[in-house]
Amino acid sequence: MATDFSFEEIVREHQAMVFRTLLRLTGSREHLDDLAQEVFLRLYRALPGFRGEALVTTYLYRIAVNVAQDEWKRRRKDAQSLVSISDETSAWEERLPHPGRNAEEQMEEREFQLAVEEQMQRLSQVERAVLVLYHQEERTYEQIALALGLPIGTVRTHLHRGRRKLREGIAARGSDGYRTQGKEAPCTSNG
Amino acid sequence: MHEQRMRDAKDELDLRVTRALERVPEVTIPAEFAARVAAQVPKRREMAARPARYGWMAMRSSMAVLVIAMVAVAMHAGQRSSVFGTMLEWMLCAELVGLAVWLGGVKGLFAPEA
Repeated sequence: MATDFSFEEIVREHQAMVFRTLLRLTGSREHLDDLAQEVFLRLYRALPGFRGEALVTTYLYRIAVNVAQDEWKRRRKDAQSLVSISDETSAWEERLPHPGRNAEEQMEEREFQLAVEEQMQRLSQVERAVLVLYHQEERTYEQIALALGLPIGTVRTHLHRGRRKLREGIAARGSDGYRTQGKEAPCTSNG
Repeated sequence: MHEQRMRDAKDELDLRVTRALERVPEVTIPAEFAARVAAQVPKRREMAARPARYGWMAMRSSMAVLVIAMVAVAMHAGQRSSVFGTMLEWMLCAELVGLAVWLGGVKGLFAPEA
């Protein structure tokens, strides 16, 4: 069937984005397949009302955020640990390549990444969503506002507040001293 | 001097946090994921869109009632013919033919599932 074939194409085209967004939002690889599947099934149910590629992408972000929020509620219900980034299956940051660095630097960078991920899970859902969409997915303020159904000013507020909380949390946690390294300017101008 | 060092440390922490946030996680997607999701879609749609066909059933019942009414009127009219009885008989007959044509031609009399 032509419609199903094109839907499979849509899934294939956006699956990487959905997987990595869900991974960052939930902080765990647990049930990631099922969650991604739920995102696309919700998209399918909503597809008849959509026009244009940009709208599908925006709507996918919104669904991914909603599905991640549902997952958090489920976890809270099950009284499971909210932060599970240290388990074997979810420590995605350990797989990150760090070419050209020595072992000590790599380990330190990994620890720092772990600290950031841990602090991320302590933010509110909307702050986490805004940070992920802005920094990881490189969405503009307008796109984030559209995806989350928030005013642009609110998106900016959540972004600044989220970054400040992250910074403070990491500074408090790493008062024993995270050695700063690397001075290349980050890409922060997509807004 | 101390304040300057603190500011520098804060700026560097900012940079590191931003860099960590911008790092894209590696994900492993099952090879058949898209096909698996697409395969689930038609089943759900079929279940949701199954027609009840109440109209179709009502139409067939009406035809049966119409035939019974025609026979009854014909038997009654056979004993003593009247203009009213004949007209009624022709009207019922016309309705029956109309229903049969509509069901046979438009809806498909023998293939209601189509």
